[in-house]
Amino acid sequence: MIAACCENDRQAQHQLYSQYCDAMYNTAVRMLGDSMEAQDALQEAFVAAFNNMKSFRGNSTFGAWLKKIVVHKCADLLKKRKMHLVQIQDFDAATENWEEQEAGISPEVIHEEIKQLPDKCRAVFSLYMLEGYDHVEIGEIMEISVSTSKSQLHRARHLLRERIKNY
Amino acid sequence: MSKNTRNFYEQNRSNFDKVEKAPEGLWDKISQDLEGERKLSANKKEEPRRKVKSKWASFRSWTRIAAMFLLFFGIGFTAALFFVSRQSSADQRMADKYPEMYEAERYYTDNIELVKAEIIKSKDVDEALIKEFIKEHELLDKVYLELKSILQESTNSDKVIELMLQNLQMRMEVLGKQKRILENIRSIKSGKNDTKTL
Repeated sequence: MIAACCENDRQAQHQLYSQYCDAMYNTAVRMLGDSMEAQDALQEAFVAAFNNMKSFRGNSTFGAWLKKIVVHKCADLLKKRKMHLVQIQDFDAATENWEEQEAGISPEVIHEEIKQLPDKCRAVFSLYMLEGYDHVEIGEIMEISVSTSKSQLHRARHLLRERIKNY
Repeated sequence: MSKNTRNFYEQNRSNFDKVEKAPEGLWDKISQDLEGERKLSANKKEEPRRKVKSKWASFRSWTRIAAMFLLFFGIGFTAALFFVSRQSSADQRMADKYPEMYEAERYYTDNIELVKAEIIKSKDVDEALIKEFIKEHELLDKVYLELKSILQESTNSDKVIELMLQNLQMRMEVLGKQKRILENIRSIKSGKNDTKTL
């Protein structure tokens, strides 16, 4: 199917799209918090991916390769937004007890709450928690320092905890 | 932050990736973009064909130039034809209305052309001088043609005819003088040559 996509076979491309579109859309919407922007990012990412299929060397799965493209497109959109860092004020790591709180809540609820987080901390949170990136990688993608990435992640967790505590 | 927290998301990642469905119609947009880019790259590949086209275009522009040339040539030819026919019809009218003048004109112009041809042949004597002589004749020709056109509309035709005859006579006189000047020059030149040979 990958080979067919390289040959610009529209049917094969549609099949790959159908297979990955939902996962990619969820990634984009979690990073951007906005469905319209997520659509734009996804559109650009799929077009870029299909136009550059020859650069996919099979070192990773197609899904992982495609996700990298989506993540970078989202990061570009966020940079354009000139996102503001969330002020770290009342962060209290000692009081965290995330595991218990989140374990009982459905992914749908958490997903909606992630979307409501401020730009940068939402993106850092998504990349770290759901896409498996470490702080160095996040720093490179988002063009922020490792310590900023760390602090934004903590901030996101704190805000998210506040939002889901009543569920 | 505990590793377990991250584990919670990692373990549920597949569920998190299913929360929302990709919007309907997104594939159509992507497909349109891909189609647009395919056409763009196809156009780029077609550039050499455009070069062939441009050759064809240059050929067409040449045919256009040729067509324009023919058109101008045609217009010029028609105008000349019209002028000649007008001239000949003017000649015809003059022959009908003033047969004597017509006869006189023919007589003089035949002689004028003969002497003029003789003078032109004498370029070896003094080319610059010949050019000057021809200029004088051109001026007299111009005046004569003007008189001829005036004659067509003039009520005082006798006066015009008189002027026309004067013009023709003057041209003959001028030609005679020019011829004599050239002969003198020629004889002076040959005289010099003779003294040189002595």
